Amino acid sequence: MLKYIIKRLLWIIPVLIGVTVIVFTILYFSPGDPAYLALGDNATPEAVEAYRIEMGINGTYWERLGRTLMGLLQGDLGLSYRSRTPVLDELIVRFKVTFNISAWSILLGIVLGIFFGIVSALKQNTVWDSLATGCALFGISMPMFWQGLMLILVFSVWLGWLPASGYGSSWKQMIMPVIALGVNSSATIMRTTRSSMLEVMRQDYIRTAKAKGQSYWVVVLRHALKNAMIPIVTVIGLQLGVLLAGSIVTEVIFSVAGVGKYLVDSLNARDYAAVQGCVLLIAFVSAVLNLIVDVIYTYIDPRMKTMYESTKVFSLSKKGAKKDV
Amino acid sequence: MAESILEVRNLEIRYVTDEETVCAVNDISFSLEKGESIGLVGETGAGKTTTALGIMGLVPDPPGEIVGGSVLFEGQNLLRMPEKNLREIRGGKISMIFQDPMTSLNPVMTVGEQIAEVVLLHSKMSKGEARKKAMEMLEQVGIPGGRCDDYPHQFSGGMKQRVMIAIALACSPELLIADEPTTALDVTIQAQVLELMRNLKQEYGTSLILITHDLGVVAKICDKVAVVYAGEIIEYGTLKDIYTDKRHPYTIGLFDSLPDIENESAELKVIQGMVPDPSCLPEGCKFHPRCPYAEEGCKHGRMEPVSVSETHMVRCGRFRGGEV
Repeated sequence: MLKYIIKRLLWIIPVLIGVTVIVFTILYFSPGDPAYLALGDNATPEAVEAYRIEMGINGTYWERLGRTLMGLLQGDLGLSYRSRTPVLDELIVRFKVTFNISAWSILLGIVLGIFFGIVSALKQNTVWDSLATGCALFGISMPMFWQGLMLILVFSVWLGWLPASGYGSSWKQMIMPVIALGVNSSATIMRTTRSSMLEVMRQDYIRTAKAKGQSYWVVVLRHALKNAMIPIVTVIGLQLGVLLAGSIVTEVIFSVAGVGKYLVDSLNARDYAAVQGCVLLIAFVSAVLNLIVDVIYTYIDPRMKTMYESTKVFSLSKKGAKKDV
Repeated sequence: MAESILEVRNLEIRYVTDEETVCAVNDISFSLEKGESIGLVGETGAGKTTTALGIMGLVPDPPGEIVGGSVLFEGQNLLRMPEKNLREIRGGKISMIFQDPMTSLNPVMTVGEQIAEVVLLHSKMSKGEARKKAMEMLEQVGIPGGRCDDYPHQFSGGMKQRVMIAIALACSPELLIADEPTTALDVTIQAQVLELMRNLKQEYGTSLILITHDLGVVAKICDKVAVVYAGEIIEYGTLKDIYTDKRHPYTIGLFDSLPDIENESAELKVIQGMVPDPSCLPEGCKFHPRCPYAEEGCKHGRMEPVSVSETHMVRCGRFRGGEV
């Protein structure tokens, strides 16, 4: 298992290099010269050249790509064109914000989604089921930015209960971004939980558990939910990716100073080093999250574990064979 | 009759959906004494499994519905019992082995946990003791106790069925319901599992309801046989009654359709026609459309059971009015 995790972690390196090459190439060929944007249209050619050297954006495509990749391997994401500070430092500060909001959102999504999914499955074809699936349909169908704007309209403009924007000065500022980001995920998770639970509750082993004289809720929570979790975890993993994308929209709407807003602002300012850093960070985070989800699988479904460990068995048998020789 | 452990009286179970009503069990009555075993024999869809689930109180509801009758276990009507008391009986005093061992074990729990679960529910053992008991039960069904931390997917089909048997017997039940315990297994494993069940039955004095369509299996284990057709018992008697003095045309047909090993050239005899669709059963005797002896009288009214002898009952018009 540990071997598998290390292997997967090492695989992240080529992924990041690939992402860097692609993002760098796209940004290289996109219009707009960062030097003129930073210094103004009237800047002298000497000043532009000096700026380019300072920022490391002089030279040919290959020279710059090589420099970027070398920097990446040393953990250096370059300097932000705007603030002339290391991009990495800027990202670390902002990532904490995004992480906070995303973590609460996915937590909200998981709790609401699984709870209402179970209720809906157990009360199939009742009013509660229709209500829950109806809400989920609404949650999935409404775009995130619209939900965010409606939240601001209702809770900030009309009711005045919550601040419309900002982050860090009060926990109240987190409520609306977390809801806007989490509702969508909870709706998806709810629908998966519902169908998965419905499927599992009809399985023979549930009947076996009932035949043992086990109480209804223990059957539901211990026997059914654990089996139903397998597809649910898959969806949660996918939702983490959606969440990262969604945080860009949410952070812009609620002007939260996180990675998402930094990415959009940097794009607008042609701050390509920062853009590249943001994309890399998002790629890195989703790779790690995927790995975590895969590891969680093995804890839920023992059949997966044997799959991963089969390589271990193989290497052991090879060792054994050598000894025999 | 004082020793009677289970009495099923006129049990009726239906599956009601928007499109149709399936009368799975129509009028099933039988009784079982302590330590005795009865075989419920019949074709697929005759209502054998539903009967068993009815006794366990596990008929899926909806769409299942117990319409009438009673199930007396040690004198108490299980159908009227509150769920809480019923749970104490399920798995403790009555337990069930299900048809398909491949899907009847929870894939994400170790077999040890699954055996210990039933032990913890019905005895005052601690977790450690329950685990020990689980290992003991595994040994008893011929699986090394050390495998109790393995998951079901690491076992073969026959071993899974043994685990199911270990679960069913872990609390030494008074009554064991085995629903086609050998159908999903190959012949050599079948023999092993049957042998195992017979030994354990003798050891614990457990009463047994064996559901099967395999007449050979019944002959090996059972004391009494009930032939089930379209949700009714059409013939009921001791093993001897049924195997040597069968009366009902369906029972005769059933035995005739067994291949004869000595007469290889003979074509296999089959009962003409199909099992009736339980959502629209024929009037009168439910077997009359397929019966070679059917008369006008068979097509109407209700076919009441007729006693052939003290132990032998048959539900056929030909034996009405004592003309046995």
